[in-house]
Amino acid sequence: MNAPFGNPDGEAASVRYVTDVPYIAGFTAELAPELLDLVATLNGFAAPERKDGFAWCELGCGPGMAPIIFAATHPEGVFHGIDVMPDHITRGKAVAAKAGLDNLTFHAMDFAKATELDLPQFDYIVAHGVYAWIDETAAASLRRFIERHLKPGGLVYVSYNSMPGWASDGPFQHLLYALAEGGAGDSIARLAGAATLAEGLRKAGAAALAASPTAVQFTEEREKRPEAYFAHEYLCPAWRPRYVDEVRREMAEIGLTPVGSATLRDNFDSFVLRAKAREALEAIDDPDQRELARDYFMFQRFRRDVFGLSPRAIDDDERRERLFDTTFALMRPASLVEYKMVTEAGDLAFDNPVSRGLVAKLSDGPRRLRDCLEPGADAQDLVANALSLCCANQLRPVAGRAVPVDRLNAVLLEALDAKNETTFRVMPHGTALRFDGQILVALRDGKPLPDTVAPWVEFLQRLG
Amino acid sequence: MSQSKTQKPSTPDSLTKAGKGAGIALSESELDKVAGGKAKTADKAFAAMDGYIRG
Repeated sequence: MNAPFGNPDGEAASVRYVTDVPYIAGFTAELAPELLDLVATLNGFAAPERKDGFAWCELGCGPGMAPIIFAATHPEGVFHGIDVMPDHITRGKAVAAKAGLDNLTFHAMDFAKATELDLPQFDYIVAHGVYAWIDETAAASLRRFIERHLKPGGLVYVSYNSMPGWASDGPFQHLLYALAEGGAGDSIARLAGAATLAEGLRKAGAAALAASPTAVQFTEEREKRPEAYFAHEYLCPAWRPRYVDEVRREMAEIGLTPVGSATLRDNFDSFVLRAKAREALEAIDDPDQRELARDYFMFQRFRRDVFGLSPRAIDDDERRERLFDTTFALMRPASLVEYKMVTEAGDLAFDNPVSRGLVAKLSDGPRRLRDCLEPGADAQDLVANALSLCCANQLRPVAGRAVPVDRLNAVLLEALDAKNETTFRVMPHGTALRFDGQILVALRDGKPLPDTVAPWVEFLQRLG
Repeated sequence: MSQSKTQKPSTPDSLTKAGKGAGIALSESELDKVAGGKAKTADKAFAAMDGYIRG
């Protein structure tokens, strides 16, 4: 068995992760080139030019689900996945080989070693969640990797646990970490033991745990989610949520400019801030200070920051043209689309003929936004409603052409075992949706399915 | 609104202004339900976890 913490390659002791249990194979849609392009466009920056191909890299890719899916659906791109756990890379390589992907390379090494690799200059470098799970040495290596391997005009995605959202739960995380030390078994077993102890303390009246929203619901919520996630989140020695101004300062040191948020709704003050909050923030001129203060209104707990290296500013006309050239896809059957969403500021509603008309058009398949504009219709209304639907994850920006995905979908279903209740269905335009694996197996095998899933079956048969 | 080629465009919020009949409306009256209270704060906390798990 691996030591619970450590670098499997025997690197510096300060580079520490939970390494004795593999992480979950998740797919993060926000890592898609098209979504990062949209973030740049919304915020007035030119996305990377991709006419002649592009290069994309994930730092801390886990078992590699995102690079596998994006490599399969973007044959014009070159993809790299880097992770310190050999087990992750072995799993990723196996899936990539079965799916016949020759534009994806995995590397089992830490960020310091990866920085020295001979790699292409990347248009996109993404790191999902790892920045708050690694120590200062590894974070510096991550930044050095970006500094060395990002192309001018390229985009960087860095997501991380953030403050002040974690403020009241920090003591709970520390307690679990401390109680798990010296426990028996692997990290999952030790976390379970620590959680049982902590729950006993909470029930006995530990005031600091009563003040922790996560502690209060931990037992119930833990049962709904993969054990490996909790082991990696709560037993990570270097765990530390970051403030946005701190991260921006660190990224500025390597020449990066803040571009926007891959949590699309966070780009819109009018969606996530109340009027009084917007008014109060007008008193702060410095953009980094304002963003920090904004997080206090939003009680921001997880940020998905997008940065750029010398991104080119675009004007309103170019921004509009780029939006109309963006292809959007429905992420659920039209009959199940919700025309509202709850945000940090309240209830946002966009149930109107324009949004419903757009959904109806996209129910036939992904289209460029300009191809959804009816003669005589108001273009601004269409843009506004398309973006609202995107923020609610009813639509996603996707690749402008479809590619065959049957082989990869078959491989993912073959890999499904009793422990994996859900899996991903890769869509031909470059994204994926999470599904109950047994439903997909039944669909593949032509077995009967309950009527309740009929809209999804029809959706997948037509668009997937 | 059109600007010169050398200027940055207006804020993202300018893109979500829609006309009558196509509007997008924020109701702040439900704020307490979404941000206040321990239970709802926990909802947000676990939703953030799903950012790690489900993407």
